[in-house]
Amino acid sequence: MTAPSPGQSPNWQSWTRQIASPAVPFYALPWLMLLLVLGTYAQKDLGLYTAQKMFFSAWVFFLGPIPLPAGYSILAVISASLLVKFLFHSPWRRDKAGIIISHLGVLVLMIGGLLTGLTQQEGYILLGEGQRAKAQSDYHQRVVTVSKDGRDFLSLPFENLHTGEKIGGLPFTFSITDTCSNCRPVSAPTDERRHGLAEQMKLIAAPPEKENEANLSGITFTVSGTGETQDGTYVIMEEVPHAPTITHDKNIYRFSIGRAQRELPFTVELKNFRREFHPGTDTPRSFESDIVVHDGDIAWPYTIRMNEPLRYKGYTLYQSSFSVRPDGEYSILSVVTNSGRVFPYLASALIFAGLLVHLLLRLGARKS
Amino acid sequence: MIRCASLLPLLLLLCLWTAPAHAQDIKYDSFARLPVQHQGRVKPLDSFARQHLSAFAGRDSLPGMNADAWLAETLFDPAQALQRPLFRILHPHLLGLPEREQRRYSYAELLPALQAKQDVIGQLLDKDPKTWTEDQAELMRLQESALIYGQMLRSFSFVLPLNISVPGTLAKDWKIDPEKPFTLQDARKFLPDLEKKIAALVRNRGEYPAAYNDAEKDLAYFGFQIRALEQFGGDNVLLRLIPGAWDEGGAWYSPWALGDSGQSSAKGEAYLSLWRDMAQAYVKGDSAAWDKAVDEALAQAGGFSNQPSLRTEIIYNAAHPFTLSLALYLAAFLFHVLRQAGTRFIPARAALCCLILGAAIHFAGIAARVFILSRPPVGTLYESVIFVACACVIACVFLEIRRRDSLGLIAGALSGILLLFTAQGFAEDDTLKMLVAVLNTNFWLATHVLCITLGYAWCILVSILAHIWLAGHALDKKVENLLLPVKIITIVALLFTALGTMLGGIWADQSWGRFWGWDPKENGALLIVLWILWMLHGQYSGHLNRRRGMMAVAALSPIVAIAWFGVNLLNVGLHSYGFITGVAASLGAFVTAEIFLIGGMGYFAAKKDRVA
Repeated sequence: MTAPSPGQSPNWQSWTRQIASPAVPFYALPWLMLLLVLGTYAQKDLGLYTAQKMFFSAWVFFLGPIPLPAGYSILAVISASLLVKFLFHSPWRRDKAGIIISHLGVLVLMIGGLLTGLTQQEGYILLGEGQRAKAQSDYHQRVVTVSKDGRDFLSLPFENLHTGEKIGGLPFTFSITDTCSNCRPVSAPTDERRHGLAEQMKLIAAPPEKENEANLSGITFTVSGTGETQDGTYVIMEEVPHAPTITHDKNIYRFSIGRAQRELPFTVELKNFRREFHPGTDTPRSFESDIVVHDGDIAWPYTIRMNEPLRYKGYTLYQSSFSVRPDGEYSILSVVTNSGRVFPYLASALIFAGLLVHLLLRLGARKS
Repeated sequence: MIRCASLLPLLLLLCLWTAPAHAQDIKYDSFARLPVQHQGRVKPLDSFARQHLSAFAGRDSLPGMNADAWLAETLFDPAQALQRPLFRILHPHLLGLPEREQRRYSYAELLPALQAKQDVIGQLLDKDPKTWTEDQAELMRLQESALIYGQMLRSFSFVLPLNISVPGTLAKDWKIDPEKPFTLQDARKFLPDLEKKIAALVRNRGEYPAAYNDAEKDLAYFGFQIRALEQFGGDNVLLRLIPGAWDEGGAWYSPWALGDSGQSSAKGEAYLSLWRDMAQAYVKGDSAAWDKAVDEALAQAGGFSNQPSLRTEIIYNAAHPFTLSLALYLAAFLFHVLRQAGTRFIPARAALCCLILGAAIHFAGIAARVFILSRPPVGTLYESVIFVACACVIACVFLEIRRRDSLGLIAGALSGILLLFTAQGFAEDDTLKMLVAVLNTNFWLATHVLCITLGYAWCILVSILAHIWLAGHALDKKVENLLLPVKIITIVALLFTALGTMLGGIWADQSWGRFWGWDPKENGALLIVLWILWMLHGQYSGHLNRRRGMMAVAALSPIVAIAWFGVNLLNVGLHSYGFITGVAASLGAFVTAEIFLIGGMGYFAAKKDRVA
């Protein structure tokens, strides 16, 4: 054990020694393993996104009414223990070099995880051949957009909308009647106060899909103060190609719902999308997208393949999927930004080096 | 793909071919070497035959008949083949079939049974396969098998002699001898004339055969039969025997599809005619003509069939290296037990020799697969099991040679036996197939996948050693010499599993743009790492004494089993290529048994400690 540094009180020593004790991971790790098992098993019913939010990317989760520590809490405890151990109680001896390096590696991994949790954003671009994209769509966040004369006027995060809420900022009254994260359209009785798609259908909440991306969100809303012919109930829903419009004071307001868009600092143009199959089968062998990146006056070609993404300006674009639609094939490129990206690489090297050094030292000690 | 089709008419159509004279004298060694393109690669016909026979019958041979002979009968004598008990049906009563000792049923028995279940099959097709019960999954498996086998039976239907008579008027017009064998290929030349005659008949006499005279009825029936045979053969693309461009990597075509592909060449036609000669030689039972046609076909396809990988595959198929290794591991264990029991007629080194020989054959089998597939050894669950088994046994052989205290021998034989038995459960799905796009990278298969599977191997090995320590301790035997290898191997296991998990994260970052996504497969790998870290910290902090520490090490086996197989049962996440079904009960039984075994041994070891 290290000797107390000047200025460190015995009380401080005792506290830090307890925090740095191997008993902390001994008690914390079984809880983390339990979370891991629960969170993994829950994915079968809840899907990955919901289970991850519930068990891993949360401070507490609830078992019935009982709050229990979730992933963030356990990882924070382990990280704090490791940090204190590393700073104040590391036995700086040659024979402990492997353990110290491994612990440093785990610390780096935790810091990387924290950075990733804070900064990582995931989205996707859907491109047909010859098309360009300047923005990415979020996988999870949905927004209700009101455009005025073709320009975005209001952008409302779907998760913030509540039943009965009145949305300000418009020259007429716009009230949310109902929202559903995963909607199912069913036929509705005829009512002259219902307009557009709402004339024939209403939205009801369906059970959430396992994968959040597959949910189709929608809202039912009412408009008043626009005149008898337009006042009434409307519905909008993702993937339904219908956006109701309201004309007021010679301005046209258009309502739609879709994935949140984020601007990219460059433009991506898809030149060609190829998918190859193992001969005589429908087993894919490779997917490739020939793209051109336009950034200001500069443009250059690049081919994104499976396991070979494009990295540019902190963005990683990789070939995640494709979609075959009536008007042709579309390439789906996932877009990820993550400030903590380099940390796992560094941590992996440190942990591996530490374990290897530890193993070699033990074998050396055994021989001597 | 499973399609809901009316299968019964096919059964009737298959009876339209004549049975051959005899095929007993025909040899199949050269036939087995002919190349075929299947599941994305060129392989010997032997592999194609074994794979399908295993899928239908649950074994790669039938009584008195190897897979190649079975395939030849299927292709060239469909009338006989459909009567042969072939399909292994686990629950025959569900299809209304009689119980039978072997539980094998012919195509002729299966088809009417499936036909009666078409409504149920149609409903099941609309459901998510994950929601099917075991019986429903079995029904759908049989439906799919029947469709595949139906295609195989029709592969050469256009060159086989038909058991239908050509109406006298047509024979006269077409100048053919009604007594001679008549094939669908012969009929194709006269199809325009046949169509014209039938159109004239319908125009003059109407659409209802009741109004026809006998000669007209014969003509209409003959036309119906020929049209039906053409229709049922048209979608036949399973047996891709003829290379399109005769170069590597291009698509191959089935005999039926070659004409429609636009890829028909003089070489392709000549090759196809050799297959026709084969079919006719088989039908006549003419072994000399058969040998000649097969040899000529082999010579023409020599660029493919002489490839070392195809030759290796023939040897691999025949050798059954993993079954042989399993037998040798069992022998090693048995010899050791008998020696320990005082049997002196078994040489002292016999057990170790068996273990080494088994490991050598095991390694050679994996090396052969690497050579055949031109990729690292682990790409599927089955491959991971045989690889882990091999790694465990080889490590134990070295342990035994170094220590010479039977420890490596027992651990090696046990790990080899247990894992190769486990592998048998996945062997049916093993078809040496090509990998999906995301796995199609030799770099990551050779680094992450090998690293993590070697980590599994070390975990299993150290767990077996811990089992031996606990058993020895409970029985008051001296086992303290196990402590050091357990400690060292635990660190090695941590090194490989941690490195493998992190390499997996880096691969995920390269492929999917994120290092960690809490995907079930990732969580499984992490679970093993966390368990080892927990053990080490528990031992260091004094919370786990020697006995409890050994119990924790022994528990690595069920932990690895859950991480390795259990997460694949969930059928969620991005690692969709690894999904499996049907092993939940076995996994549950193994984990439960291990809990009782480790708990029991720990209890008795604690009792001994208290007495001491």
